[in-house]
Amino acid sequence: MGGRKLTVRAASRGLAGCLRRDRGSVSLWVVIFAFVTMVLLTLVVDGGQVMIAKSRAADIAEQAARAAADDIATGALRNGQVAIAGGACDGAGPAAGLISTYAKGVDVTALMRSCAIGTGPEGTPDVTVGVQVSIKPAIPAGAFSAISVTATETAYLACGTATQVVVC
Amino acid sequence: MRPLRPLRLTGLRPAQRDRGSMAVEFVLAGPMLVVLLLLLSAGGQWIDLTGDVSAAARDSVRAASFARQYNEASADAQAAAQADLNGVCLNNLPAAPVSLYQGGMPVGNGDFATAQAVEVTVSCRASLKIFGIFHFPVAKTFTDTAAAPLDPFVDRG
Repeated sequence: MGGRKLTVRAASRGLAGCLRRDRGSVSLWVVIFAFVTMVLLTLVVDGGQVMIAKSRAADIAEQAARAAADDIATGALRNGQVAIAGGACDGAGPAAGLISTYAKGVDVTALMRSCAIGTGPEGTPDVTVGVQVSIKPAIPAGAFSAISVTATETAYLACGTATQVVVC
Repeated sequence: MRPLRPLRLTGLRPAQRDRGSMAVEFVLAGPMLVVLLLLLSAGGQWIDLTGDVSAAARDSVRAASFARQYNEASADAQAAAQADLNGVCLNNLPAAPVSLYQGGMPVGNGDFATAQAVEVTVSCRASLKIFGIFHFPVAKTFTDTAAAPLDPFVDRG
């Protein structure tokens, strides 16, 4: 073989060099491990909070839509017409009131982004409410410096009784 | 075949000083790594329990909003919370007090007939089970609130 002749002395010098290079390698490994763990912890906690905020936003929008849909125009009802009151989506209406009460109780910021009275399945009146919920993340870092989610839900009127639904 | 000469590590003075240093470093770093993993696991459990209590509050307030009387609303809210958090809370008895609102302001229990919204706050003291592995119990009270409208066309006495 034409390569360099490897002597035992040279090999031992190489091994000694390797060992010297290993000094403190555990500390470096620990630092990397700690960093990766903290990143994972942020993902788990803040990612979980985003999911919880999303379901909360959906629930707030759903309950606000139900509150607005409950605001049936009694004058029209006496004339045999089922309709949602025009003020159901107003700033001081039932939807906005429910969002305010809910947000105060949960201690989050919730804004009504949209509220529209429309027509649902089989011509029944419905209300669609859009809500934006903002919360402070437990670990404010990176993409999770602020968590803000939106949800839009619809509630419609069902005429009849619990066992027999009729067209409104 | 010629027998191999025994490897004689000569000139290893600096390396000899390092002998076992990795083991010592591992002994010191090991508990810290375990604590980090515990923290990660506890974070997952914290989120899981927060979500459970949040869902229980939503179910609880929905059950309360169907009731015809305050006592019935209170009992339904409690039952719904207990059903959702079965085996989660330490005493298996989550608290689910019901409060009423009218025009965004809190009103008394006697105003159930005219109240516009009902609110339930579910509290549950639960343990972070991962710490139980080391016989080191860690418990935290998880609380969440949800609100729902009360149907104005339902007769609530």
